[in-house]
Amino acid sequence: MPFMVGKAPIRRTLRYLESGKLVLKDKIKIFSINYNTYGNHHKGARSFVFWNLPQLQYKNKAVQVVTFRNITPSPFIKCYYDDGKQILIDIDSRTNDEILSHLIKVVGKSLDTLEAEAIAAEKKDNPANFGVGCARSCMCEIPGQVPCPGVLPLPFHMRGKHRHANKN
Amino acid sequence: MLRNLLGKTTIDSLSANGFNISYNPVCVQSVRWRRKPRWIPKAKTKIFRIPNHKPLLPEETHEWLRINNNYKLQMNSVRAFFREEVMNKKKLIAQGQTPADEEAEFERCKSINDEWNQEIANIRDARYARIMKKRCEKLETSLDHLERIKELQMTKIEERVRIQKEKSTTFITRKNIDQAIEHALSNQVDFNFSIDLQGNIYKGDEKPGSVAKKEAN
Repeated sequence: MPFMVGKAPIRRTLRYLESGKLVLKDKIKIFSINYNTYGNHHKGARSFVFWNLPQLQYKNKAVQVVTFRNITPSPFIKCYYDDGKQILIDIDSRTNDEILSHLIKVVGKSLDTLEAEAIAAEKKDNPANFGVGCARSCMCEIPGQVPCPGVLPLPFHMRGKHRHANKN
Repeated sequence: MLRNLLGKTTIDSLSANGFNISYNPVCVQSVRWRRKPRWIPKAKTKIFRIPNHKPLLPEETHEWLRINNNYKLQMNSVRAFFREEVMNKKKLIAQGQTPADEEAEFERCKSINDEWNQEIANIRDARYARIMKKRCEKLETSLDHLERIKELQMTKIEERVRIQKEKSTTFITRKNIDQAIEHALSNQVDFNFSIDLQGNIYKGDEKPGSVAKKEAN
C-alpha cells in the first residue's frame, strides 16, 4: 500500500492539509499560477506550488486550481471571479511565505469570517445538540432522560393532578 | 431523582423512580395511554370528585399576572432579539455582503494588490537593467576581440603577398620562356658529384651526356 510516496510525503498527510491558511473567497472560481522550472526569480513561485498548492486545493475543493509551467518569463497568479472580474498578482522574486500572506490579504477570507463559519458549522455537526434542525427534536428522545409523557406516563410523584388530589 | 443515576444503569434507576419500564433487550417504547376518548364516561372513582381549588385573592392574582407578564415580555423580547441577530449573521455568512459592500471590498483588495505589483515591477526593472548592462559589456569585449583577430589576419596576408611579390621577379612567363629554355639547355647542371661528411663536393672529369655516347660506341 503506497505510504510515503513522492518527494515530501508530509504534503499528503491530513494534518498538513488541514493546516492550510488560505481559504479563497466564495466568488473566486479559478486560481491559475504561471511559473518556470528555471530562474532564480521563480524560486518563490516554485516553492509555493510545491508546498502550498495542495493545502489550497484541499481547503477550496470547488475552485479550479491550474498551473502553467515554462510559458511566461515572469511568474504570476491570476484569480477569476464569478462575475467576470479578474485579479492579477505578480509574484516575481518573492518568497513562498510572502506570497501566501499577500494572497490571504487580497483574495482570502479573513480570520473573523472563518471563525464565524466554523461556529455555524459546529452547530450542525455536534450530535449532542437537540432542537430545531438537529437529529433529535426534544430532550425526551435522548436516552437516560425523562421520557415524554406523551409516550410513557410520568410517575405519580411527578404528576400535578395526583399530588394535588392526594392532598385533599 | 437524577442523583440516583450516578453509578446505576439507566433503566434500573428509571424503574426505581416510578417509571414502568421493563428490562427488555429489544427496547420498543410505544404509546401506553394518550387520552381518554370523549365517548367513554368518567371513571366511577372520579365522578363525584370535587377539586379543591385554593382561594385566590384578586389582588394577589393581579400582582402575579403583572409580574408574570412583565417577565415573559422581557424574556420573549430578548429571545426574539437574539434570534434576529443570529439570523442576520447567518444571512451575512451565507450571502456574503451586499453588492455595494462587495464592490468596495474588491476595490480595496485591488488597491493593495496594485501597490504590491508596483513594488515587484520596480525590482524586475532593476534586474533587467543589470542584465542589459552585462550583455552590452560582453558584446563590446567580444567585438574588440574580433577586431584584433581581423588585424592579425590582415598582417599575415600582407606578409604572404609581399613574399610572393619578391619572388615574382624570377617567375618564367610566356615572354621569357624561349630565353629560359635556351638558358637551361646551354647550362646543363651536372649531378654526377660526390659529397663527404664535411660537405666538400668532388666533381668528376666527364662532361654531362658523355657516358651515353661511350655506351653507343
